[in-house]
Amino acid sequence: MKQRKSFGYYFLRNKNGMIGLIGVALIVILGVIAPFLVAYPEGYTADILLAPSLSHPLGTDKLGLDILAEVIWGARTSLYVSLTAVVISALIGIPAGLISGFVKGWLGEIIDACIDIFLTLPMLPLMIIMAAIMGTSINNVALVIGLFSWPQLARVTKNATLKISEMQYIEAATCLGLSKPRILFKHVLLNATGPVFVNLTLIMASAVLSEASLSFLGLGDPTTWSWGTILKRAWTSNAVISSPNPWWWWLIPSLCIVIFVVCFNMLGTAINDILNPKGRD
Amino acid sequence: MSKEPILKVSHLNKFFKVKKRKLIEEKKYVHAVEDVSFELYEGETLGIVGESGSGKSTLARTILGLIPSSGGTVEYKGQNITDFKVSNSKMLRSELQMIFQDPYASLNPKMKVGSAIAEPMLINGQAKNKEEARQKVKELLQMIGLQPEVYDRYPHEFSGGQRQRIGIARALAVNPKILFCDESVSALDVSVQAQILNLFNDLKEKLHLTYVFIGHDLAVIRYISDRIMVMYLGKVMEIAPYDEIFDENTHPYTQSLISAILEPTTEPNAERIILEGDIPSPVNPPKGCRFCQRCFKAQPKCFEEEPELIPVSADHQIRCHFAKVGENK
Repeated sequence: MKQRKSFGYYFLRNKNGMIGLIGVALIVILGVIAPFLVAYPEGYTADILLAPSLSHPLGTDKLGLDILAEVIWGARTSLYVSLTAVVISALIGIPAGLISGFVKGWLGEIIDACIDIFLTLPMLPLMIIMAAIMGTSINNVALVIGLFSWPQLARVTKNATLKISEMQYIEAATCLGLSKPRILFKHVLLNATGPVFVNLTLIMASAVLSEASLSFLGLGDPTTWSWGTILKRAWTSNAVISSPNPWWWWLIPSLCIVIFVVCFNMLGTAINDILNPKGRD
Repeated sequence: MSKEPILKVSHLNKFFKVKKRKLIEEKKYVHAVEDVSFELYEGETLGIVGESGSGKSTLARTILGLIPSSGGTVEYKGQNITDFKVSNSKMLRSELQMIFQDPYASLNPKMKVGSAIAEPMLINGQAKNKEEARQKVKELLQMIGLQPEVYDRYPHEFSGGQRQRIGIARALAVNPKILFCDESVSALDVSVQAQILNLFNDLKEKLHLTYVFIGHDLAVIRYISDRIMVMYLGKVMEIAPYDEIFDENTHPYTQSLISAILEPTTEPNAERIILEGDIPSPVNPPKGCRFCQRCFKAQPKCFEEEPELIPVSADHQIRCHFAKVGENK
């Protein structure tokens, strides 16, 4: 009988997964060890709008601050905000989806209606209003993003639950005397991991985008660096349209956002493929 | 065979509501199981046979409380357990288990075989800790003819017959007294069917099990059963001991099922009874005898009046106007 191979074995052989993992790991490491790497960029210096060079690998902005330092500190904020947002939306979205898909009757109907209402709400204007009311701190930004990204997760979880709860092994579990919560949060959730995981990484990616949008609109935390904040400063200084163009100022944070989103999507897809035992070989 | 029934089903009904299509429309029901009564004795195998849509699986699910009943009672060892709304339902649940039809759908694809079998053990208290459960699962796997090494494998790595064995092991994990086998071999190859049927017979002797064996193939049912119950359109048509089911004095529907069994012969079977048409809609079951529209013996009386279950001998009942009472003995 052949030896059962581990999750790691299959993961190491998944090219997209490895690229995604390396990208995500780099961003995480950058974010975590940022304080040991570069000084926090604050104040101003005389090196205004320098193009990338040896002393400033990614150039400087209009205040003479190093873009590399800003981007590295920004990674920290972006990671923190998107992780918090994902945890909040997972805590609301997954149980809501499971229950509305599994429980028939008024409880499921009410949750279902809530999901529908939240899905139809225009997200960005509400985020702006809420961020404006609650004040600008990164915790509030994370909370707002989390509170508005759970409905799509709930919907995906619900669809998966509806399909899975009709399967014979769920009936078998009932017959074997397993309790309803156990069936729901173990057997159903275990089989819904694929779509849920992919959706979580998508939320992670879109949280970074939302955070950038909010910061760009001036509703982020002005005292911390995030990729959106850098973009906002570049925008308000007319960096995008001025000539000669300080392209490094706006291009680098934008690229960071793109890389972050792509890496998380690739990682999510790879995990989905590997968690499904049939899709391994 | 003791005379005290281990399981007694009395006048069990299961109706499913039909969704209304128009605004004003009287409520309609699918009569899936109607007025089914039977007794099951310890150590026997009761075969339930009937074509698709006759309510066999629904009957089993209703008895096991997987779907709520619409009337009637189920008694287990003298205690009313209808819909399992009783205080000791957890203990009772583990005594009545089911083996499902589709070995591909009845195992959780994301759970390792070993932990799938161990889980109900730990929850119902057949094993106290994980070590004990692991040990017991390995013993079980050996008993049903699989290597203990399969503990850490996933269901998709097994063939249909092996999966069905795993399904059996999972049901046996909670020490059941009665096993409901819902078409448990009909999804398998004929050669594998025989293996699994033999396994059922072995287990019955080893573990003193009582079986309710559901199937549409009378050849399979007669191989394993002590008594056979024939269902048609949600109703019991006949309950007969094994050796009386092939007699002359049986229900016309049973006769047609028997004549559908393939025999290893090249001679033409002149007397083969071939039923015409399909099973009627269970939403509007025919007035009179359920089987009247397709019966080769049908008389005007059959279309008007529904026959009762007529006892023709001690253990033999037939729902037919033409059953001859007392001729079998």
